[in-house]
Amino acid sequence: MARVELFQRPVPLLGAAVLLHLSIISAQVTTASGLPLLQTVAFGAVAEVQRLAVATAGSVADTWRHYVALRGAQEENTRLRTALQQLELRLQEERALAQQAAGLRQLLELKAAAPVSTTAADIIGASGTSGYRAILINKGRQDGVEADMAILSPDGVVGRVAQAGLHTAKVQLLIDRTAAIGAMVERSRAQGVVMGGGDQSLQLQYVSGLADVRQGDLVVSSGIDGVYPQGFVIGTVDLVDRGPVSYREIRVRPAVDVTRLEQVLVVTSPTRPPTDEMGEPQP
Amino acid sequence: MTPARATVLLVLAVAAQSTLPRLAVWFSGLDFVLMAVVAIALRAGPGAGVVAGTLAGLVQDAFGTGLLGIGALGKTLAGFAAGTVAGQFMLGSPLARLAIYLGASLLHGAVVAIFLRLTSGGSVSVSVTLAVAEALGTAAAGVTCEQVVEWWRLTRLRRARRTGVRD
Repeated sequence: MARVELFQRPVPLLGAAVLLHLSIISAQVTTASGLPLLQTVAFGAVAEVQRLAVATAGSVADTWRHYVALRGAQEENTRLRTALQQLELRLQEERALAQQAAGLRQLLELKAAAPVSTTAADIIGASGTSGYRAILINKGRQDGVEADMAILSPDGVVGRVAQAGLHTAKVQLLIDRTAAIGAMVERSRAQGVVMGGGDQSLQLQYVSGLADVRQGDLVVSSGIDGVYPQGFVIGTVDLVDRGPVSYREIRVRPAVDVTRLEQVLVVTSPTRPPTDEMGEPQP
Repeated sequence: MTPARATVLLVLAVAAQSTLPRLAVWFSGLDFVLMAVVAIALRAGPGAGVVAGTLAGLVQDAFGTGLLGIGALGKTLAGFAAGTVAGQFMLGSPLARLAIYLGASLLHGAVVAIFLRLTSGGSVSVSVTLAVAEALGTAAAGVTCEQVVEWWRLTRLRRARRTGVRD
Protein backbone atom coordinates (compact mmCIF):
# COMPACT_ATOMS: atom_id res chain seq x y z
CA MET A 1 0.00 0.00 0.00
CA ALA A 2 2.81 2.34 0.89
CA ARG A 3 4.51 1.49 -2.37
CA VAL A 4 1.39 2.40 -4.33
CA GLU A 5 1.08 5.77 -2.52
CA LEU A 6 4.72 6.52 -3.16
CA PHE A 7 4.35 5.80 -6.85
CA GLN A 8 1.24 7.99 -7.01
CA ARG A 9 3.35 10.97 -5.96
CA PRO A 10 6.03 10.97 -8.59
CA VAL A 11 7.11 14.60 -8.19
CA PRO A 12 8.37 14.30 -4.60
CA LEU A 13 9.88 11.02 -5.57
CA LEU A 14 11.64 12.67 -8.47
CA GLY A 15 12.89 15.45 -6.23
CA ALA A 16 14.32 13.03 -3.76
CA ALA A 17 15.94 10.99 -6.49
CA VAL A 18 17.49 14.04 -8.14
CA LEU A 19 18.79 15.24 -4.80
CA LEU A 20 20.28 11.84 -4.16
CA HIS A 21 22.01 11.79 -7.52
CA LEU A 22 23.33 15.31 -7.13
CA SER A 23 24.68 14.49 -3.70
CA ILE A 24 26.41 11.40 -5.00
CA ILE A 25 27.89 13.32 -7.92
CA SER A 26 28.97 16.23 -5.77
CA ALA A 27 30.67 13.96 -3.28
CA GLN A 28 32.93 12.69 -6.04
CA VAL A 29 33.82 16.01 -7.60
CA THR A 30 36.43 18.39 -6.22
CA THR A 31 36.58 22.09 -6.92
CA ALA A 32 39.58 24.03 -8.12
CA SER A 33 40.52 24.71 -4.50
CA GLY A 34 40.68 20.99 -3.79
CA LEU A 35 37.61 20.90 -1.59
CA PRO A 36 34.79 18.49 -2.39
CA LEU A 37 32.04 20.09 -4.41
CA LEU A 38 29.42 18.90 -1.95
CA GLN A 39 31.22 20.66 0.88
CA THR A 40 31.70 23.77 -1.19
CA VAL A 41 28.08 23.88 -2.26
CA ALA A 42 26.88 23.20 1.27
CA PHE A 43 29.12 25.90 2.68
CA GLY A 44 27.99 28.32 -0.02
CA ALA A 45 24.36 27.58 0.68
CA VAL A 46 24.78 27.96 4.42
CA ALA A 47 26.81 31.11 4.01
CA GLU A 48 24.19 32.56 1.70
CA VAL A 49 21.45 31.75 4.17
CA GLN A 50 23.51 33.34 6.93
CA ARG A 51 24.15 36.42 4.82
CA LEU A 52 20.45 36.79 4.08
CA ALA A 53 19.62 36.30 7.74
CA VAL A 54 22.13 38.93 8.81
CA ALA A 55 20.92 41.32 6.14
CA THR A 56 17.32 40.80 7.19
CA ALA A 57 18.14 41.28 10.84
CA GLY A 58 20.11 44.40 10.00
CA SER A 59 17.24 45.83 8.00
CA VAL A 60 14.82 45.16 10.81
CA ALA A 61 17.20 46.74 13.32
CA ASP A 62 17.70 49.80 11.10
CA THR A 63 13.97 50.20 10.60
CA TRP A 64 13.32 49.95 14.32
CA ARG A 65 16.14 52.35 15.15
CA HIS A 66 14.90 54.89 12.61
CA TYR A 67 11.38 54.59 13.91
CA VAL A 68 12.52 55.21 17.46
CA ALA A 69 14.61 58.13 16.28
CA LEU A 70 11.62 59.66 14.50
CA ARG A 71 9.69 59.92 17.74
CA GLY A 72 11.81 62.88 18.85
CA ALA A 73 12.56 64.21 15.42
CA GLN A 74 9.81 66.85 15.43
CA GLU A 75 10.97 68.43 18.68
CA GLU A 76 14.59 68.25 17.63
CA ASN A 77 13.73 69.76 14.28
CA THR A 78 12.01 72.71 15.91
CA ARG A 79 14.88 73.21 18.32
CA LEU A 80 17.46 73.03 15.55
CA ARG A 81 15.49 75.43 13.38
CA THR A 82 15.39 77.98 16.16
CA ALA A 83 19.10 77.56 16.78
CA LEU A 84 19.76 77.94 13.08
CA GLN A 85 17.85 81.19 12.92
CA GLN A 86 19.82 82.53 15.86
CA LEU A 87 23.05 81.45 14.26
CA GLU A 88 22.08 83.11 10.98
CA LEU A 89 21.45 86.34 12.85
CA ARG A 90 24.80 86.08 14.58
CA LEU A 91 26.43 85.29 11.26
CA GLN A 92 25.00 88.45 9.72
CA GLU A 93 26.22 90.46 12.68
CA GLU A 94 29.67 88.92 12.45
CA ARG A 95 29.75 89.48 8.72
CA ALA A 96 28.87 93.15 9.16
CA LEU A 97 31.56 93.53 11.78
CA ALA A 98 34.06 91.78 9.54
CA GLN A 99 33.23 94.04 6.63
CA GLN A 100 33.56 97.08 8.82
CA ALA A 101 36.89 95.84 10.12
CA ALA A 102 38.10 95.07 6.62
CA GLY A 103 37.16 98.56 5.45
CA LEU A 104 38.98 100.14 8.36
CA ARG A 105 42.00 97.93 7.78
CA GLN A 106 42.10 98.94 4.13
CA LEU A 107 41.94 102.57 5.12
CA LEU A 108 44.72 102.08 7.64
CA GLU A 109 46.85 100.22 5.12
CA LEU A 110 46.26 102.91 2.54
CA LYS A 111 47.08 105.55 5.07
CA ALA A 112 50.30 103.77 5.95
CA ALA A 113 51.25 103.18 2.34
CA ALA A 114 50.33 106.56 0.94
CA PRO A 115 53.28 108.91 0.57
CA VAL A 116 51.10 111.70 1.83
CA SER A 117 49.61 112.54 5.16
CA THR A 118 45.90 111.91 5.33
CA THR A 119 42.99 112.03 7.69
CA ALA A 120 39.97 109.78 7.58
CA ALA A 121 36.50 111.15 7.22
CA ASP A 122 33.00 109.70 7.13
CA ILE A 123 30.57 110.49 4.36
CA ILE A 124 27.56 112.14 5.90
CA GLY A 125 25.64 113.21 2.82
CA ALA A 126 25.52 113.76 -0.89
CA SER A 127 24.56 116.60 -3.16
CA GLY A 128 21.57 115.80 -5.26
CA THR A 129 22.08 118.59 -7.76
CA SER A 130 21.90 117.28 -11.29
CA GLY A 131 25.25 117.24 -12.98
CA TYR A 132 27.11 118.39 -9.96
CA ARG A 133 28.19 115.22 -8.23
CA ALA A 134 29.40 115.84 -4.70
CA ILE A 135 29.38 114.35 -1.23
CA LEU A 136 29.65 115.76 2.27
CA ILE A 137 32.25 114.59 4.75
CA ASN A 138 32.40 115.14 8.52
CA LYS A 139 35.75 116.90 8.50
CA GLY A 140 36.28 120.62 7.88
CA ARG A 141 38.65 123.44 8.54
CA GLN A 142 38.64 122.55 12.24
CA ASP A 143 40.31 119.29 11.22
CA GLY A 144 42.78 120.82 8.80
CA VAL A 145 40.70 120.19 5.72
CA GLU A 146 40.94 122.87 3.09
CA ALA A 147 39.75 123.39 -0.45
CA ASP A 148 41.46 121.48 -3.28
CA MET A 149 42.61 118.70 -1.06
CA ALA A 150 42.44 115.31 -2.71
CA ILE A 151 40.02 112.67 -1.48
CA LEU A 152 41.07 109.03 -1.78
CA SER A 153 39.62 105.65 -1.03
CA PRO A 154 41.13 102.18 -1.01
CA ASP A 155 39.86 101.70 -4.56
CA GLY A 156 41.30 104.90 -5.93
CA VAL A 157 40.75 108.59 -6.38
CA VAL A 158 37.38 109.93 -5.24
CA GLY A 159 37.59 113.66 -5.90
CA ARG A 160 38.70 116.88 -4.30
CA VAL A 161 37.44 119.20 -1.58
CA ALA A 162 35.39 121.81 -3.34
CA GLN A 163 34.40 123.76 -0.26
CA ALA A 164 35.46 123.36 3.36
CA GLY A 165 33.23 124.31 6.24
CA LEU A 166 34.20 124.43 9.89
CA HIS A 167 33.29 120.82 10.61
CA THR A 168 32.24 119.56 7.21
CA ALA A 169 33.42 119.74 3.67
CA LYS A 170 31.91 119.36 0.22
CA VAL A 171 33.78 116.98 -2.04
CA GLN A 172 33.58 117.23 -5.82
CA LEU A 173 33.59 113.73 -7.27
CA LEU A 174 35.62 112.80 -10.32
CA ILE A 175 32.44 111.94 -12.18
CA ASP A 176 31.23 115.53 -11.85
CA ARG A 177 31.00 117.10 -15.26
CA THR A 178 33.19 119.98 -14.21
CA ALA A 179 35.85 117.84 -12.54
CA ALA A 180 39.23 117.20 -14.08
CA ILE A 181 42.39 115.38 -13.02
CA GLY A 182 45.79 114.98 -14.54
CA ALA A 183 46.06 111.33 -15.61
CA MET A 184 48.24 108.88 -17.43
CA VAL A 185 47.95 105.38 -18.80
CA GLU A 186 49.98 103.17 -16.50
CA ARG A 187 51.17 100.77 -19.20
CA SER A 188 52.27 103.24 -21.86
CA ARG A 189 52.72 106.32 -19.62
CA ALA A 190 50.60 108.28 -22.08
CA GLN A 191 49.37 111.42 -20.40
CA GLY A 192 46.13 113.29 -20.62
CA VAL A 193 43.31 114.79 -18.58
CA VAL A 194 40.41 112.81 -17.16
CA MET A 195 37.18 114.77 -17.07
CA GLY A 196 33.87 113.84 -15.54
CA GLY A 197 30.87 113.35 -17.71
CA GLY A 198 28.16 113.96 -15.18
CA ASP A 199 27.14 110.31 -15.30
CA GLN A 200 29.01 107.26 -14.11
CA SER A 201 31.74 107.49 -16.75
CA LEU A 202 34.93 109.51 -17.28
CA GLN A 203 36.61 110.81 -20.42
CA LEU A 204 40.36 110.77 -21.00
CA GLN A 205 41.15 113.76 -23.17
CA TYR A 206 44.13 115.56 -24.61
CA VAL A 207 45.93 112.35 -25.36
CA SER A 208 48.52 112.48 -28.13
CA GLY A 209 47.61 110.73 -31.31
CA LEU A 210 50.94 108.91 -31.13
CA ALA A 211 50.22 107.55 -27.66
CA ASP A 212 49.35 103.92 -27.13
CA VAL A 213 46.04 103.46 -25.37
CA ARG A 214 44.17 100.20 -25.34
CA GLN A 215 41.02 98.93 -23.82
CA GLY A 216 41.67 97.61 -20.34
CA ASP A 217 44.58 99.89 -19.62
CA LEU A 218 44.76 101.19 -16.09
CA VAL A 219 44.56 104.98 -15.76
CA VAL A 220 46.22 106.57 -12.74
CA SER A 221 46.71 110.10 -11.51
CA SER A 222 49.76 111.82 -12.93
CA GLY A 223 50.06 114.40 -10.11
CA ILE A 224 50.72 117.15 -12.60
CA ASP A 225 47.67 119.14 -11.55
CA GLY A 226 49.02 119.85 -8.08
CA VAL A 227 45.84 118.55 -6.40
CA TYR A 228 45.97 114.80 -6.67
CA PRO A 229 49.03 112.81 -5.68
CA GLN A 230 50.69 110.73 -8.37
CA GLY A 231 49.98 107.07 -8.99
CA PHE A 232 46.51 106.64 -7.55
CA VAL A 233 44.02 104.67 -9.59
CA ILE A 234 41.38 106.61 -11.49
CA GLY A 235 39.85 103.82 -13.53
CA THR A 236 40.16 101.48 -16.47
CA VAL A 237 39.94 102.29 -20.18
CA ASP A 238 36.56 101.05 -21.27
CA LEU A 239 36.34 102.27 -24.87
CA VAL A 240 38.91 103.55 -27.36
CA ASP A 241 37.68 105.31 -30.49
CA ARG A 242 40.72 106.24 -32.57
CA GLY A 243 40.47 108.65 -35.46
CA PRO A 244 42.94 109.06 -38.37
CA VAL A 245 45.03 111.60 -36.55
CA SER A 246 44.00 111.59 -32.89
CA TYR A 247 41.75 109.81 -30.46
CA ARG A 248 38.11 110.73 -30.83
CA GLU A 249 37.08 109.29 -27.51
CA ILE A 250 38.67 107.35 -24.67
CA ARG A 251 36.13 106.36 -22.09
CA VAL A 252 37.26 105.38 -18.60
CA ARG A 253 35.27 103.37 -16.12
CA PRO A 254 35.83 104.82 -12.61
CA ALA A 255 37.56 102.58 -10.11
CA VAL A 256 35.55 103.98 -7.22
CA ASP A 257 31.89 103.24 -6.82
CA VAL A 258 30.78 106.30 -4.89
CA THR A 259 27.44 104.78 -4.05
CA ARG A 260 29.18 102.24 -1.84
CA LEU A 261 31.58 104.57 -0.11
CA GLU A 262 31.26 105.09 3.63
CA GLN A 263 34.64 106.48 4.55
CA VAL A 264 37.35 108.37 2.68
CA LEU A 265 40.84 109.75 3.26
CA VAL A 266 41.57 113.45 2.94
CA VAL A 267 45.08 114.24 1.74
CA THR A 268 46.10 116.95 4.14
CA SER A 269 49.69 117.41 2.99
CA PRO A 270 50.22 119.68 0.02
CA THR A 271 50.56 117.77 -3.22
CA ARG A 272 53.32 118.89 -5.49
CA PRO A 273 53.78 117.98 -9.09
CA PRO A 274 56.43 115.30 -9.68
CA THR A 275 59.81 116.79 -10.44
CA ASP A 276 62.96 115.53 -12.08
CA GLU A 277 66.44 115.48 -10.60
CA MET A 278 66.90 119.19 -11.31
CA GLY A 279 63.70 120.02 -9.48
CA GLU A 280 61.81 120.87 -12.65
CA PRO A 281 58.27 119.63 -13.02
CA GLN A 282 57.94 116.60 -15.23
CA PRO A 283 55.67 116.85 -18.21
CA MET B 1 3.69 -4.33 -14.79
CA THR B 2 4.57 -5.97 -11.56
CA PRO B 3 7.71 -5.04 -9.62
CA ALA B 4 9.08 -8.50 -10.17
CA ARG B 5 8.75 -8.23 -13.91
CA ALA B 6 10.22 -4.78 -13.84
CA THR B 7 13.15 -6.02 -11.80
CA VAL B 8 13.70 -8.89 -14.21
CA LEU B 9 13.55 -6.51 -17.12
CA LEU B 10 16.10 -4.22 -15.53
CA VAL B 11 18.44 -7.06 -14.70
CA LEU B 12 18.22 -8.31 -18.25
CA ALA B 13 18.87 -4.83 -19.55
CA VAL B 14 21.94 -4.39 -17.38
CA ALA B 15 23.19 -7.79 -18.44
CA ALA B 16 22.65 -6.97 -22.07
CA GLN B 17 24.40 -3.66 -21.65
CA SER B 18 27.43 -5.37 -20.15
CA THR B 19 27.67 -8.26 -22.61
CA LEU B 20 26.29 -7.32 -26.02
CA PRO B 21 28.80 -4.55 -26.81
CA ARG B 22 31.53 -7.17 -26.59
CA LEU B 23 29.81 -9.16 -29.32
CA ALA B 24 29.35 -6.29 -31.77
CA VAL B 25 30.65 -2.74 -31.72
CA TRP B 26 27.41 -1.15 -32.78
CA PHE B 27 25.70 -2.47 -29.66
CA SER B 28 27.76 -0.03 -27.64
CA GLY B 29 25.69 2.81 -29.10
CA LEU B 30 22.49 1.41 -27.65
CA ASP B 31 21.37 2.03 -24.09
CA PHE B 32 19.46 -1.09 -23.13
CA VAL B 33 19.00 0.08 -19.56
CA LEU B 34 17.35 3.25 -20.75
CA MET B 35 15.06 1.23 -22.99
CA ALA B 36 14.01 -0.82 -19.98
CA VAL B 37 13.41 2.27 -17.84
CA VAL B 38 11.22 3.85 -20.53
CA ALA B 39 9.34 0.62 -21.05
CA ILE B 40 8.62 0.42 -17.34
CA ALA B 41 7.58 4.08 -17.20
CA LEU B 42 5.21 3.62 -20.15
CA ARG B 43 3.43 0.82 -18.40
CA ALA B 44 3.67 1.77 -14.71
CA GLY B 45 3.83 5.58 -14.68
CA PRO B 46 6.33 8.25 -13.75
CA GLY B 47 6.88 7.07 -10.18
CA ALA B 48 7.94 3.67 -11.38
CA GLY B 49 10.06 5.34 -14.04
CA VAL B 50 11.85 7.36 -11.38
CA VAL B 51 12.57 4.35 -9.21
CA ALA B 52 13.63 2.23 -12.15
CA GLY B 53 15.84 4.95 -13.53
CA THR B 54 17.48 5.56 -10.18
CA LEU B 55 18.26 1.96 -9.37
CA ALA B 56 19.20 0.81 -12.84
CA GLY B 57 21.16 3.94 -13.50
CA LEU B 58 23.21 3.59 -10.34
CA VAL B 59 23.95 -0.02 -11.17
CA GLN B 60 24.93 0.87 -14.70
CA ASP B 61 27.10 3.73 -13.48
CA ALA B 62 28.77 1.41 -11.00
CA PHE B 63 29.86 -0.76 -13.86
CA GLY B 64 31.18 2.13 -15.82
CA THR B 65 34.25 4.29 -15.41
CA GLY B 66 32.51 7.64 -15.08
CA LEU B 67 31.15 9.38 -12.05
CA LEU B 68 28.48 7.52 -10.17
CA GLY B 69 25.10 9.21 -10.48
CA ILE B 70 25.32 11.06 -13.75
CA GLY B 71 23.75 8.34 -15.87
CA ALA B 72 21.34 7.57 -13.05
CA LEU B 73 20.20 11.17 -12.96
CA GLY B 74 19.60 11.15 -16.70
CA LYS B 75 17.65 7.91 -16.56
CA THR B 76 15.62 9.14 -13.59
CA LEU B 77 14.55 12.24 -15.45
CA ALA B 78 13.93 10.27 -18.61
CA GLY B 79 11.80 7.74 -16.75
CA PHE B 80 9.80 10.48 -15.09
CA ALA B 81 9.25 12.31 -18.39
CA ALA B 82 8.25 9.19 -20.26
CA GLY B 83 5.84 8.11 -17.55
CA THR B 84 4.29 11.57 -17.34
CA VAL B 85 3.76 11.81 -21.11
CA ALA B 86 2.37 8.28 -21.23
CA GLY B 87 -0.26 9.27 -18.71
CA GLN B 88 -1.35 12.24 -20.78
CA PHE B 89 -1.58 10.76 -24.29
CA MET B 90 -2.65 7.59 -26.07
CA LEU B 91 0.55 5.90 -27.18
CA GLY B 92 -0.72 2.84 -29.03
CA SER B 93 0.99 3.47 -32.34
CA PRO B 94 4.65 2.60 -32.88
CA LEU B 95 5.36 6.11 -34.10
CA ALA B 96 4.15 7.66 -30.84
CA ARG B 97 6.23 5.24 -28.86
CA LEU B 98 9.19 6.05 -31.05
CA ALA B 99 8.75 9.71 -30.14
CA ILE B 100 8.68 8.87 -26.47
CA TYR B 101 11.79 6.75 -26.68
CA LEU B 102 13.55 9.36 -28.76
CA GLY B 103 12.61 12.17 -26.38
CA ALA B 104 13.70 10.22 -23.35
CA SER B 105 16.99 9.29 -25.02
CA LEU B 106 17.68 12.90 -25.97
CA LEU B 107 16.86 14.08 -22.47
CA HIS B 108 19.14 11.46 -20.99
CA GLY B 109 21.93 12.36 -23.39
CA ALA B 110 21.56 16.07 -22.66
CA VAL B 111 21.70 15.58 -18.90
CA VAL B 112 24.75 13.34 -19.17
CA ALA B 113 26.49 15.78 -21.50
CA ILE B 114 25.81 18.76 -19.28
CA PHE B 115 27.04 17.06 -16.14
CA LEU B 116 30.07 15.69 -17.90
CA ARG B 117 30.99 19.23 -18.92
CA LEU B 118 30.32 20.60 -15.46
CA THR B 119 32.20 17.98 -13.52
CA SER B 120 35.16 17.91 -15.89
CA GLY B 121 35.63 21.66 -15.88
CA GLY B 122 34.84 21.82 -19.58
CA SER B 123 37.64 19.48 -20.61
CA VAL B 124 35.28 16.77 -21.88
CA SER B 125 33.68 17.53 -25.21
CA VAL B 126 30.44 15.86 -26.21
CA SER B 127 29.56 15.22 -29.85
CA VAL B 128 26.01 16.27 -30.48
CA THR B 129 25.85 14.25 -33.67
CA LEU B 130 26.96 11.11 -31.92
CA ALA B 131 24.54 11.72 -29.07
CA VAL B 132 21.63 12.17 -31.48
CA ALA B 133 22.63 9.09 -33.44
CA GLU B 134 22.76 7.04 -30.26
CA ALA B 135 19.40 8.44 -29.19
CA LEU B 136 17.90 7.47 -32.55
CA GLY B 137 19.40 4.02 -32.33
CA THR B 138 18.15 3.52 -28.79
CA ALA B 139 14.72 4.79 -29.72
CA ALA B 140 14.54 2.52 -32.74
CA ALA B 141 15.76 -0.44 -30.75
CA GLY B 142 13.32 0.31 -27.99
CA VAL B 143 10.35 0.50 -30.33
CA THR B 144 11.54 -2.67 -32.05
CA CYS B 145 11.71 -4.43 -28.71
CA GLU B 146 8.27 -3.07 -27.88
CA GLN B 147 6.89 -4.45 -31.13
CA VAL B 148 8.58 -7.79 -30.57
CA VAL B 149 7.16 -8.00 -27.09
CA GLU B 150 3.75 -6.98 -28.38
CA TRP B 151 3.94 -9.55 -31.17
CA TRP B 152 5.00 -12.19 -28.67
CA ARG B 153 2.18 -11.20 -26.34
CA LEU B 154 -0.38 -11.34 -29.11
CA THR B 155 0.96 -14.65 -30.29
CA ARG B 156 0.67 -16.10 -26.84
CA LEU B 157 -2.83 -14.67 -26.58
CA ARG B 158 -3.91 -16.28 -29.84
CA ARG B 159 -2.38 -19.58 -28.83
CA ALA B 160 -4.15 -19.44 -25.55
CA ARG B 161 -7.44 -18.80 -27.29
CA ARG B 162 -6.87 -21.78 -29.53
CA THR B 163 -5.94 -24.08 -26.67
CA GLY B 164 -8.30 -22.49 -24.16
CA VAL B 165 -5.54 -21.81 -21.72
CA ARG B 166 -5.29 -18.31 -20.26
CA ASP B 167 -2.11 -16.76 -19.15
